[in-house]
Amino acid sequence: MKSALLEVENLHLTINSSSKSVKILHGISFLIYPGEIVGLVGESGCGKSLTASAILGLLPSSHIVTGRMEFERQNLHSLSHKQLSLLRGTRLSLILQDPSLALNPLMPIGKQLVEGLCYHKKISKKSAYQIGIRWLQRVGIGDAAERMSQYPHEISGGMKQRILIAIALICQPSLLIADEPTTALDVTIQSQVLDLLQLLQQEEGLSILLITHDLGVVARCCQRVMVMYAGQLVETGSVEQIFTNPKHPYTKALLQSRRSLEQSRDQPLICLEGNPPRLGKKMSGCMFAARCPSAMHICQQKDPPLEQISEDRSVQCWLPQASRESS
Amino acid sequence: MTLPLLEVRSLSKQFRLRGQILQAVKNVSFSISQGEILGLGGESGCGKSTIGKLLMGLLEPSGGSIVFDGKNLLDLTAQRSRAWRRHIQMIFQNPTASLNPRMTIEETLAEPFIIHGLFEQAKLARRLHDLLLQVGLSADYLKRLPHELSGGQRQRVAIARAIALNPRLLICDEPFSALDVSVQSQIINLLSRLQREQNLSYLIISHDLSILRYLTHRSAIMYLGEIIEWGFSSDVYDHPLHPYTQALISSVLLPDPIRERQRSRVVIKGEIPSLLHPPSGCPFHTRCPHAMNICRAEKPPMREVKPGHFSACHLYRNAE
Repeated sequence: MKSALLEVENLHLTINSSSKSVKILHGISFLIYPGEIVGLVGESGCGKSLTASAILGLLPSSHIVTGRMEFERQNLHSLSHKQLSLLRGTRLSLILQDPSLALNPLMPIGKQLVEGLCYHKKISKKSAYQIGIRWLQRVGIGDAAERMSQYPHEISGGMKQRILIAIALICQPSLLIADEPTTALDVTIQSQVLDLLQLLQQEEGLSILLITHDLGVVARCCQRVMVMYAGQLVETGSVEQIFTNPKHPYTKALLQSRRSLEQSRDQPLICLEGNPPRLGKKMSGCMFAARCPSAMHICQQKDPPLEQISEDRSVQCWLPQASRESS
Repeated sequence: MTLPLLEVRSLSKQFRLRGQILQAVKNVSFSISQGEILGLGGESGCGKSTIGKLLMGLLEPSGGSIVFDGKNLLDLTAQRSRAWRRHIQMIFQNPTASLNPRMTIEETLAEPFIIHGLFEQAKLARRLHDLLLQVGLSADYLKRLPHELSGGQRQRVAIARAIALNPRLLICDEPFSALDVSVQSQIINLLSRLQREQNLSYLIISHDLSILRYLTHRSAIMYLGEIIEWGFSSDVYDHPLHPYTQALISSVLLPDPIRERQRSRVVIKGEIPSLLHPPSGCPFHTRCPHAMNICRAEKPPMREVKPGHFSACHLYRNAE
């Protein structure tokens, strides 16, 4: 068995405010192996981005994180601030949804690009700029040398996202967390950026945790998928398993509600009624029970057990194996 | 043939930007019949939302005409035009921004009746109650404030407000893109039910081609302020003619891993040019995989390539 790059075990997140404490993540466990792209899908507010922030140690002190997180065999909890910030720039990296918010509008692109390189790798500015120009070319930006002195407002959204990818990868991390990297982009640009991410992933042997709400993005890029609902991972598996043989009723509903360019126009769209519960809303039993078409009595009473079907396949649901397969 | 409900002819809109002219909409013509759903698709910055605002009277056109039910809306005085605009209503992208956070749902829904003086105290309560039922919400919501509702519920309220005065045309500007997938389907089904029940006409502005293909009868695809292809939606999305439409469709991801990875894609290079410096000739020639010399020099006219299916592309110059 190969060893995992990132191991997350029983991750809980609670937000404390002066009046109350709210549970956001309810015991999340997963592994990411070297060189794979893993999708984390779910609707807005289910806790996908908070999971990423918890791994990166970017949450404020009012957010209490418990559980074991090991990255490259180091316990992320035991690291000091300094060690963690070194790890974040060099081994563990992040790109965010909105590229125009992630760049400093007052700083030239080149300076932002090589900032991490100069800080972490202690190399001269001149050679950092050379590496920077090479990276701009790698992410498909023409006139790279001239671009280095431009400001973010002078370039398009797609180009900004390419620059953020370059910034994230310039120190050659082993894990990239991409939080909705193409959601703010137009479809033709989304296609280009996904191609670029896949190309770099192969060239660099990188692992990517790809957070998205779009099953099309997962279908295109990922090897494995984790489906999240209301702060829990309700189902995990390979892309093929999840798309062809979903076990959890939420995964099934998500797959049924996807649209494509081949949809028949004569039938109403199948849709999941109701809304996801608000994060932190206290509920007994399964989080999905209120919207689940196959909910039983026990679903409202007790939390469903996490069933590990095989090494990389799990489902958290009360439905017995038999009825799940026949439905 | 019956007169179309809305006819837009050579509509243009220019903005001035620090001394430069930005041509956001160029010579756009289309029509919508009673009970028809027209889709307007394209990437951001192509001018589709500007068209929505021009139709609503939120922006003043630089040229062209907007004929609604036989009347040119641009010739009317402000007061008369307001009365006409009752028949055209709009739904916006972000339901949170389009509802007043300090007004209860009841106040929000009553406002159109008050503004247009169609206000009968005795019947109003009943009407508001019915409106909510029509969009799938219970009357309990009348006393609530927008922050107590989810995004999908807020969009339902925005739809209820838009249909309050029984308009004939509804302009929906990206009505789904701020919503989650499972909620999107609910709103799509709601809009298509309302259209059938009331024989409404819609102009749906969206960048999501899978929604346009599902929901619309006819579609127009825009690029850099111009319509480059239009026709019946079944033709436009299943047999696209213009290389840009082909590329757009091939960029729509299939939510099926096996087929998504096997299919061949039309990849287009580069990004959308700036509207301040539009390319010469065909606006798409800078990214088009089939660009020829003529494309750089001459703007292609709109041609009927197949019956009812139009495209502005030099590839079809011998098709007529």
